[in-house]
Amino acid sequence: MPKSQNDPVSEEERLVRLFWFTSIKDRVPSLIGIRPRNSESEGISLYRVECLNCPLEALEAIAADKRDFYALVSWPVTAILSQGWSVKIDHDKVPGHVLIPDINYLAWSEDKENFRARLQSLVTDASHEVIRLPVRRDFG
Amino acid sequence: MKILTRDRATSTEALVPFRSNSAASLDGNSYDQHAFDSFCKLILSFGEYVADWDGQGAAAPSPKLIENALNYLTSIGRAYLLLPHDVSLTADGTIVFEWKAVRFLQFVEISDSGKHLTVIDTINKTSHTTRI
Repeated sequence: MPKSQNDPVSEEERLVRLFWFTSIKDRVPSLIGIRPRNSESEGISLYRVECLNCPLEALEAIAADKRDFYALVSWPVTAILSQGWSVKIDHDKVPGHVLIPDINYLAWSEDKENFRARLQSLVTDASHEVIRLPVRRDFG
Repeated sequence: MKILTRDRATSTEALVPFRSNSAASLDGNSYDQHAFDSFCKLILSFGEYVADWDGQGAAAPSPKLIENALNYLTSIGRAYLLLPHDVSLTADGTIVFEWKAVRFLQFVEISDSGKHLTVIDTINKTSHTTRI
């Protein structure tokens, strides 16, 4: 039984982010996949694995014809908190949606130097786990 | 010489001014014409992407962006510099060239209006960005 998305986020949980297939090579996620998009003005978007029946449910946030092009990469909540960042519950169409408000597009745009190094350390953090590779790479 | 997208559309070879496919690059290895051509084709393919290509509202790359990226790639090729390890289109409508080394990562991010170089020191966890 998945956790309720209203339950507080605990340090034992893991968060998953969707990575476009070009943002992950040889099972190694790239900084490009985790830096804020210009639509992420409130923070980057992730999903709580414990709120999903299966981590693949996070793909339901994406149009069906694009899902095969996405990888899923997860981190323990502690990897986020240890950087001094917070995790905020944000109800969306897929349960367990959260934001990292500290990593928002405006903050990123104004201080890319600082963010690049910190986000790079996150993608190379040994605690990350690639839990799904892209099914297709034949886009375009 | 400016490299226009339309010039590249039918061939990635005609405008590549290499004297020899085995010309040495800065790292001492032979120049990888195949990789160069692959990056040309990849960048050209980005030009086919339409808005929301990733299903999350990604911007469509502009013709100017494609032109800028091809010009930059060509400048690398002409100087026989080390080709990037990867070239990616971002959701924000920029193209990123990426080089990886044991300690350092180098990114050149190209937009409609220019390009920025970032070097990340993965050991000290610092980075430096400059407009180029």
